[in-house]
Amino acid sequence: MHLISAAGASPSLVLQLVVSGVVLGSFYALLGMSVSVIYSTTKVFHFAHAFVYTAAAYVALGTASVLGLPIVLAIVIGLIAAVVLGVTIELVVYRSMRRSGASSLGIFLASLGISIAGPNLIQIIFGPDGRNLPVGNPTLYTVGTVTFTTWDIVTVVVSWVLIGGVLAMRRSRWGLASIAVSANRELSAAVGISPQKIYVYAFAVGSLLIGSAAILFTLNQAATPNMGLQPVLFGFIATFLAGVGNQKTAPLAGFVLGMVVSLSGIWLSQTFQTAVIFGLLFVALIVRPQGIFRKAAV
Amino acid sequence: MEYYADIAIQIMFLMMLALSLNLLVGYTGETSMAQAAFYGIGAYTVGLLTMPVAVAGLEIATSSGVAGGAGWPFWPAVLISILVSAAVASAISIPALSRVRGEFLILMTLAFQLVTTQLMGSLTSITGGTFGLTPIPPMTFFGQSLIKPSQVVIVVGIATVLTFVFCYRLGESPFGRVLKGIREQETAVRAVGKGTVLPKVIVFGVAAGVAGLAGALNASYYQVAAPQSFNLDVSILAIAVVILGGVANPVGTVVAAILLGLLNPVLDALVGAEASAWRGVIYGLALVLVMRYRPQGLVPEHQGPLRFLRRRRRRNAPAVAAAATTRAPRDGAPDATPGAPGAVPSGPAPEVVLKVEGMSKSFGGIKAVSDATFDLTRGQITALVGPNGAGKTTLFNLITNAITPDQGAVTLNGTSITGLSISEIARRGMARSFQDGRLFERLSAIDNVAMAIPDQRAENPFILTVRPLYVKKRERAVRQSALECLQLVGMHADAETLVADLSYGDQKLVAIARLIATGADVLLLDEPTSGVDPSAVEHVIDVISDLRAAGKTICLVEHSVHMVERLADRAVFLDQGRVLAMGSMKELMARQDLKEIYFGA
Amino acid sequence: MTVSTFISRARRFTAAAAVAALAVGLASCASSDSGTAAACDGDTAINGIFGEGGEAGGQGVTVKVGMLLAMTGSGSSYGEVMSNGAKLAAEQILAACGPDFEIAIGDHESGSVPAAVAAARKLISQDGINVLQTSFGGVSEAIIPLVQQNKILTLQGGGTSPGQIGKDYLWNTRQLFADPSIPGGLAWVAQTYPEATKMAVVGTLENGINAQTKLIPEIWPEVAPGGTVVLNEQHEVGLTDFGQIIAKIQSAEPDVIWIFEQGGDNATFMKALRRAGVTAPVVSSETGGEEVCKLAPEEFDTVIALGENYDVANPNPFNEQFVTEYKDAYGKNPDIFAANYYEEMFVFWELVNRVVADGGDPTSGEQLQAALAADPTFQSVYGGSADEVGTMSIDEETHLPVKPMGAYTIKDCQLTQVATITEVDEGGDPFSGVSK
Repeated sequence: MHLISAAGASPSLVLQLVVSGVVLGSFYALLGMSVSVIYSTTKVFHFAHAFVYTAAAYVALGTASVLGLPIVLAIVIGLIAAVVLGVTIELVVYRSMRRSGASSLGIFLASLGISIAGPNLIQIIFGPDGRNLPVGNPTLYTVGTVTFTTWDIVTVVVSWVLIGGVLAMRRSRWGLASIAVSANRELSAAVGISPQKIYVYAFAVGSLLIGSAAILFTLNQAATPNMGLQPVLFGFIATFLAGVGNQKTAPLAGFVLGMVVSLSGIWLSQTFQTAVIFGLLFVALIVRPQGIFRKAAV
Repeated sequence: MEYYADIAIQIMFLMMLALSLNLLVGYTGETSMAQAAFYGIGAYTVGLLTMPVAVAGLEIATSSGVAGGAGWPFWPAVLISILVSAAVASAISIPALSRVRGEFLILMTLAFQLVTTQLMGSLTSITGGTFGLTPIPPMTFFGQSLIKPSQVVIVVGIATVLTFVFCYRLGESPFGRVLKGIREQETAVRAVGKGTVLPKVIVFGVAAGVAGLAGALNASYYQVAAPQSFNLDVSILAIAVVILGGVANPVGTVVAAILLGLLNPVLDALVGAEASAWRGVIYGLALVLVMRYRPQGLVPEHQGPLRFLRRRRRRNAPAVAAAATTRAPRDGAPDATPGAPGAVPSGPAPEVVLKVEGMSKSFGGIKAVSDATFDLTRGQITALVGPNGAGKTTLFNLITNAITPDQGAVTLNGTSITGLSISEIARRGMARSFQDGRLFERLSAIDNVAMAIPDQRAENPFILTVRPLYVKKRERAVRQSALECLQLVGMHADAETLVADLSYGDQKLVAIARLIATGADVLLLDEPTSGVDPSAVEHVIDVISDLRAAGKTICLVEHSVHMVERLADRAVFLDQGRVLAMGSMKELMARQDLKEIYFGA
Repeated sequence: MTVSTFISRARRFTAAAAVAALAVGLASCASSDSGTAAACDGDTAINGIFGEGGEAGGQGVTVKVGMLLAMTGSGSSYGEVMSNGAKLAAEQILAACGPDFEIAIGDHESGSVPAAVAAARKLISQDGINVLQTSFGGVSEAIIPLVQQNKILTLQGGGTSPGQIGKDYLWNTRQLFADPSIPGGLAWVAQTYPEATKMAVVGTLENGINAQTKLIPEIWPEVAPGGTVVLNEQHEVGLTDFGQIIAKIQSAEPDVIWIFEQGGDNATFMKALRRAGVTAPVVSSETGGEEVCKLAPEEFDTVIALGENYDVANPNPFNEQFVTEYKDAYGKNPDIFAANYYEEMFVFWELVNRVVADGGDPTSGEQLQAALAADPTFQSVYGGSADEVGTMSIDEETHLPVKPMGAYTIKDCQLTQVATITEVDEGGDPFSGVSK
């Protein structure tokens, strides 16, 4: 067994892994931002986010390959579908459960139910095999020994533009209102902010981000019905590592996570990658349950 | 025949897994996403122990090249499997449960589940990798190797029945009561002097041990242990069974396991190839619908045939029957607090029981409590008064260390209790109530009170298992004491009523009964009459006076000047976290400045 | 025993096989009388090869055949073609006045062990199967105790793994995945890329693990002067992000890459590899794969497949009629899996005939296995020539067949053979295994 990689830490390998780490880290940062926007505001452990992710990818590739619409249009429709689905879940399931006094555990379990039923439904409709978004091959760029593709650049740029957008929105009326709601729901209701509206806003933004992540993923890889679990899990890991309620540092935590995953390849075989990530989470949650980047409450 | 036996076995495995998980999710209110991991640990352990010892020259026995096992007989290996699963679960739960709750625990158990499955797949030389560990020898029973489903079903059936009885008895035992208390109000369990980490660690281990037993039987029935049998999907399926069936109700779990277990063969016949996907859709949707429209599940916690039998038996119990009179008028109150060890008679000289010195706490620059110093005298009622936001409840929280003070010291009966945990403080004789009651809502009134009775050895699950008769006897005594505490507040007629079904005023009375049951000498009462209707207020006042008469030292936070005047021997006036004055309520209210602060200028 | 010794043992049996095939042919010619049932006339193309059927040909006997296949999940396309092959054979045999092979299919959900064991139990206890055709490596290993305890003769035609070698009641009609082709394959690579010394090996922790971790590192330095394995990476099935592994490949700068990837993993890896600009030749031990063609057709065209393959154009009369009839029935060419499960059904027929001839019970797995072990050579769609039906023989000890292997280039998902590879004896000249 080759559990420990024999590759060794040659400079070219480290450089390449740093570049892969930047791409992966940017992707995880986007996932972290997406989960954090929803979780820090609404405190819903929105496991069904995994279904929103999968649905965005499948709607996009369904409209592109089945209906034959242009790819850009298909992507836009996929993103709209993500937002509509996310908001619908909030309105139809979570909101009515909150009204009937459901516990956060109850809401999580309903969310879990959606995350099981949804992807299985997609499997029944589209079949279990992987599917590609009909986009061409990306251009390859070589700098020294390091290589990257158009899609790598797109992933990094789109992720950080979206993250920047969300963080900039925090200064807006909506952004401030959602900070208020996440800090104290009752109090903000008392000063005339409707938590209900803010929740819908959080789900819309969070779903747009996770939908974008799904599309970025599908540019490079085949979509499968079970594609959603891992990214959403990583989003949650980033959120919890950053410290719950700490929206600003969630992308940072995601980025660090991606870097660690990538650079662990210097010493470790891929088969132990997941174990490393979860081992880190485990230790981090025990040693610093308030989050590794947690400063004062936001 | 063999086919139906096989289906029955599959359902029973699911049942065992869900019954054990119900101890966590249902009784303790902690969601574990890793139940299948412990199921798998049991399976792999039994596999590695029972597989024959490697023989030189037969290297290629399996693809993975697992050399062989330890060649153990079946049942000792099963025992070790149970212990290994339980030990691993306890080990990971000690740090996790003491620091982490709710969503954190979900994420952590999810992580543990995924890591375990991945390691099962990648540590090929131990686990056989993705192909699994095979061939595992079949199970034996009285020297007989069992291979046919129709034979195995008997052993698995016995194991399932034992699991059911075990989980049911554990859930309904004093230990189960503590677990339910943790589920309902963890702080309140600590406030009545009980630790909550140890019971959680134990129940985590016990649940994993039962899952390990199921895993051991599974591996020797299928004669293979492979990662897919113990992955996240299996954990989620077990959660679905618990939730659909109804939390904290083993009967519901059995019903739901049968329903979901039968989905497989039925869907196989109906949709053939897509059966597993359809099953996912169906139980996923069922989970959503149940949580949305019937969160209590198919068979709710306080229903089901077994529950009915139990209640009838209890109603017929002589002790309770004798006490089950209508609510007694308060005049004929019993002369001492029964059931509580600390019924100390009031001493001749005024004696300081509790000393609070220089207590300070700031929240983000705002001084909530600042240099508060006062003391409580034995057998007296001291009231903390002051306008809203004066820091009265915060002071309670600081005294009991529910909030860690920035500065200050607390001395109880001459010993420093600064920095002790709230449960330790309660054990040393000072207990508190909460403004919002913090009752265990989905427990009966008597269970609420019984929880607070100290030194319950019957709450130890080990004693529960080895000395069931002792536990039964002890529990009868505990219930008797609890009933007497309820009688003190006149709530004994409602002993078996769920607290959630009681009126707000009655709930406050149960909260006082629970406080009495702790046997503490010093009682901190946080607004015992707020929200109680006027007719009941008198009743509460009587109860509190009786407690003073019984020698208790009482400190209460109270808003109603009227009530403070009637009850309190002394009042401490607080404003903006500072102690402004002390004295009788009359004296204080005579001061214009205080009056202005109190009622607003 | 070691892998190399069973390889050489398998080889020794090839010679014996040819003789045995003759005997079988004679035996089937002899059974030519007996009244035929209404449904058959004993005059089909099959009758031309296998004799007229009738009572001596097992007519009137009903044998229940279980198939344990990937009917759902990522490998469901395999399940489809395997069942197609077997169904066609059962129809042809019935029409040729042979026994009635009733097929019952169980689904192992593309390799799920619990699903496989449950399905196998159902096949055995509910459907009452007499014989079984199984597929995939892990799940087939998992059901071995079950088929042994129930004495079900089982044929494996699509996923032989080391754990299925020499197991009672389990006989393979497909070569071990990868392993037998490794020595000859490496020799061919050394010959084809004479400058190549640095080899990278990448694969999942599945069937090919022995080849990845033992055979290649051992044999490559022997066949290529200065040859080293510069990278040997295993990863989990279903990995989506190959970035790290590809970074390691880029840094190791191999001259040739040998992969053990199947289905979706194959496509994901090849896409990521070529997109990252790695141009080194890739040798794959996977010769089939509809999924990879669908997902990464361009990248798959840059692969050289190395291993056992089925030749649709083989002019052997048994194969010719098979391809024709299969195309008629299913509208496309059969692949290796359709072929293997097709001809396995004819193995069952031959065994039924032998048991019937001995006056035994043709539904007894025990007797069927004894008949197989007595003479493990059968007519085959592999090998042979335009005039002669090919033969396949299974080694008595290893329960492995000898089948033609080759190196194939790929164009539009069609394999074209560029070299023949045979098994190499331990200590023999490695290049003796290669011919162009």
